[in-house]
Amino acid sequence: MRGVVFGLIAYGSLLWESAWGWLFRDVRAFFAAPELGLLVVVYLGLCGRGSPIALTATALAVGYLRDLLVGSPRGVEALAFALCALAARLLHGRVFLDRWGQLAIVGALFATLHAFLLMLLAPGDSSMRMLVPLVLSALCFAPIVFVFLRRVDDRIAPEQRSLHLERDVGARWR
Amino acid sequence: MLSRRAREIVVVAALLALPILFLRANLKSPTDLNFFDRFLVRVSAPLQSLCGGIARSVGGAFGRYVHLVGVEAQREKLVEDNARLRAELAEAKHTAEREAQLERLLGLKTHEKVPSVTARVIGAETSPFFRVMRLRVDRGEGEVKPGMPVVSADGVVGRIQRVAGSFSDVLLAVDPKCAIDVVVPRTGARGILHGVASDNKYRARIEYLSKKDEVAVGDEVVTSGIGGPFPRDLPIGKIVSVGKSEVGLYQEAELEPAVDYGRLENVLVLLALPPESIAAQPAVKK
Repeated sequence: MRGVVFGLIAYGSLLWESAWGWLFRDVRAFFAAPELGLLVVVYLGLCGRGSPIALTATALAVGYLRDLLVGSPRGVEALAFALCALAARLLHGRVFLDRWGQLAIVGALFATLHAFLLMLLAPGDSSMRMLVPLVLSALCFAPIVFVFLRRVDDRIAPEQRSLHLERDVGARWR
Repeated sequence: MLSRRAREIVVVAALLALPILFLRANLKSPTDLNFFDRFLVRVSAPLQSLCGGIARSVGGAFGRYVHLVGVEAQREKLVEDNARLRAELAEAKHTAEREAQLERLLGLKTHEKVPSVTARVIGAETSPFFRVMRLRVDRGEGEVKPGMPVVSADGVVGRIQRVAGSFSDVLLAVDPKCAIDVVVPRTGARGILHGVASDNKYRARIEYLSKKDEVAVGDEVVTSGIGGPFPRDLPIGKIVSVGKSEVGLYQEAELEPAVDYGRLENVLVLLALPPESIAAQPAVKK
């Protein structure tokens, strides 16, 4: 049930990413479309629930869908998403995530990691300036997306902590 | 017997190998989509179109409200521009007639009209790493092929990258992977246009411009019609900066595209294949 719900959320997020350009066309020069699909798989990794195999498979599926929707070479986003999800899984329980600022920083870090992976996997003419709008966008949207997903998680699987953080026991960042 | 942890590591590594295989297959034939990919694109594209439609309406309503500010001053400027453009149009018509007469006299072959199909933009480009837009072709499904040029009323948009039924992905002219042979009509300077990897602004640069050729800020740039599917004289944009280095044979110029990719709604796909694709097609027996 949880997998289906998060899969649908990720799919819907990817569809909305392509609509972003029309929604805020006047500010799009400074503010990239938020990578909502990436934030969903990063959230799943940070939660630390389920097996790494299921996490990798989910991230690969979401990434492959993004490959098809964005028009990138097939496999690039899939691999980048899977590596980001595994990196998030490694961070599970090792970072503080009890404030919005911390969530924003984690989101921005993963946006940067994702951008570097894309530069590595699809080498071409790339520039560090490309990072600025992506990081800005992640700083703004990551806390909103993580809190939303946490609430969804609480609703569909209330018996377990959806984002278990060892140093964060008792913290309420909702 | 492997421990659970070791088994997980092995399976995760095997899963990570999958996208590498996809990537390898994609490098071999970047334009081909398999049955599964085509199915996913066909299912997702209408939903993408729906989301785009909603966003376009909301964004358009907001934009219309914001753009009302300063509309009076803009109107006055447009009236002035209109008067000037009418005069220029009359002069251009006269010149075109004279040019056509001269071409007839010299027996030159006039421009061939390229057949085209209209398409609607249903997915805006989202990633600064991949400047790709999704189109839905209104009619003529099956006629659109990878490599065909896409243009709008303002100028060159890009070229078709992948096709799935009536949906196609367009690699924009501002993508670093796109290369178009261009010319500066004022001086005849020729170069190759490439997109610039930058923040979300659309920029391109002309490379291999000979240092001997004079180019200046404000010069218009058009397609040369050489070595690709683009017909000649399609507007590309205006030069915004010129970079000359002490060493080397070439100079570079940065260009602002004539097309506002963020506001594109309808485009034309020219049903013309690049010369290398035509050469690669099997010959038809007479």
